[in-house]
Amino acid sequence: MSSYFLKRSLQAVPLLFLISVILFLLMYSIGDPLAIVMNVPRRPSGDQLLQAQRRLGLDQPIYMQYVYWLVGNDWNYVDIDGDGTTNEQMRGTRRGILRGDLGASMVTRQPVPVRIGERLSNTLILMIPAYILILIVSFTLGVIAALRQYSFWDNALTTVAFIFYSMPIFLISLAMIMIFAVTFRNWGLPSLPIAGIGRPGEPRTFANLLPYMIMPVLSLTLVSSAAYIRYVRASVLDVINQDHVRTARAKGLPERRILIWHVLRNAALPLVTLVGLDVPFLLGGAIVTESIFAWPGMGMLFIESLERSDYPVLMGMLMLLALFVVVAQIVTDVLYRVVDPRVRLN
Amino acid sequence: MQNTFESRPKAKPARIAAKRASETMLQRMVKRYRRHRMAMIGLFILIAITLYVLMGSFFVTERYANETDFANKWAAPSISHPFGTDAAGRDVLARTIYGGQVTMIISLLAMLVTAILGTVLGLLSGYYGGGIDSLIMRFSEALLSIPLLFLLLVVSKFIGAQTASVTVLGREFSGSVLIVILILGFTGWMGLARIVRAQVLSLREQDFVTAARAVGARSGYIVFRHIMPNALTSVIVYTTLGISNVILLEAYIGFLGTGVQPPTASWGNMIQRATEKIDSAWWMWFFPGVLILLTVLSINFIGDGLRDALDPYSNK
Repeated sequence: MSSYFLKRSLQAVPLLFLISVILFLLMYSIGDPLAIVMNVPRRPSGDQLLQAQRRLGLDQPIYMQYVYWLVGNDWNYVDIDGDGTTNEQMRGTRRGILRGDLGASMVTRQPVPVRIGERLSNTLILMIPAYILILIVSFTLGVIAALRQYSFWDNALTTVAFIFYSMPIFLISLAMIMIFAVTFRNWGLPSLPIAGIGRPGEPRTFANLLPYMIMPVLSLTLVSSAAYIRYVRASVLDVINQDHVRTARAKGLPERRILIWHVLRNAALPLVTLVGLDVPFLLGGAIVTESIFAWPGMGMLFIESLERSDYPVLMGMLMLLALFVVVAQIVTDVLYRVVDPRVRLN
Repeated sequence: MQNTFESRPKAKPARIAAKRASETMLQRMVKRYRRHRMAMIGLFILIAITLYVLMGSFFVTERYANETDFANKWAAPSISHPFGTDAAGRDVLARTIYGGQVTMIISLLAMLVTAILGTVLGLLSGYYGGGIDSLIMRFSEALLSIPLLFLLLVVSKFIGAQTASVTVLGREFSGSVLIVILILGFTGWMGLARIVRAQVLSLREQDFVTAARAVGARSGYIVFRHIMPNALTSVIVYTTLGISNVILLEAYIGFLGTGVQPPTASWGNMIQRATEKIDSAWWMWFFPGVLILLTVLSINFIGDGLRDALDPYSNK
């Protein structure tokens, strides 16, 4: 087991390198991070701009920029005035991602982990309740649909799940805003706030946040549960028709015990993989949902950073996501082999 | 193709088997598809939407759809504008027609790119194995580790939305249409390549491939004439379901403003400014949103039906 774990972890290293190279190549051409400072009232002179470029390493060829991003540039001198000679005091200050330095935002000058950290907590406030709801809803409904296969409720559930599975998330979000925020307010009923994350200045307690959370969490739940319900249903149906369930029934076990011990435990196995592979995507938040509800999470940070070509933040976010995806894959694989002894390790 | 399917014996009552043999494979597929009620409903909805989008061209011109009228912006549905007007005073009804054409063209062509890339890379990877295989698979793994919408947005920024407009068949499209097709096409092949590869891995060990090799067929011939036709059903099902996915993704990047650029309409970018007047202008998102939902839903139903109809082992 541990040798398998080690092998998979070692394989992940070149994969992460490949991801970082692909992303860095894409980042290089998304635009000039310094373009934004050219629009401010006291725009810097050409000379100052050049100096800023050199200080940030933007004058270097792309492979050098990648090396700086990877291992930093404190072993090198920065030729700030561009005369070809280096002065002793202008040593590079970056330490590189491999030594734990993700760089600083080109826009706010904050370190990338700080910038990501404040948004990550907002995203998790939204995504964790949503994911818990998704699991509860889809597991309950999926099992009900499977146990009453081809009944009225099964057909109704499957059809509704299909509709939500095909739903663009903005349609359900905007419809909810229209009903619960706008129409309810117009009718004088208690209504939900349209968007945002609490009133400014208010402490972010759960009670204060709840009204703002309801609609985004609900729309995420409705759209994502649909796919899960179909999956749970298929998985339960798969197990129900197996021999060991028939045997259990034949030896006279009560239905409830068959369901819990023989069906659900086995049906949950493939779901381990599904859930494990989806969890890292929670961190990424939901770009569309966050931007509809003006929820300042990871998705919004990504859009803002992309607009301003703030590539240290973008690289930091995407590498963090990729790292979690890769780690989750390994953990899920190992876990699956632990819970299902039929799967051989090799 | 017919032979390979029928050469696999299946225990069946003799009477049915005899009846089956008199039908061609296509007839059998059509029959199986028609028995799928939701798939038939899906087909009708899709035909209706396609007719709406195509026939609309005879009633309103594209110039009218792109014409701004700032005195009359955010107008509610009325007789002169049945679906209301948008943030620039353009007629929403006319834009759902021309936007629908653009969305459909984008999703079909993007899926074509994906289908070709995915099939070819999957075939190469599965049949030749070795270095090509690990190169393609590692690359697809890397791309799959980045959440798709994030990847799409970065790539669209990378290619850049500012491109000259192109004229096709006497109509002028924003250059962004072409870019969106490429972005969606080049980021969607990984799943298909993996499916095709898995199929090839099992097909290449089968007797008919060994036989073809024994009579001296070249690799290229074996791959395209013997292996690909057998992997084709998965490609068809994957691509059909993929189209609905592409429509949703186009809608999302259009909504986020990095998709098709106005004045060219697409169902996605029509919703882009709907959040500005969320408390009143519901017609901005309702009509394109419902059209997207119906199209995606009908394509998903069709894909589901096709999967059952094309699977030679299902005898429903």
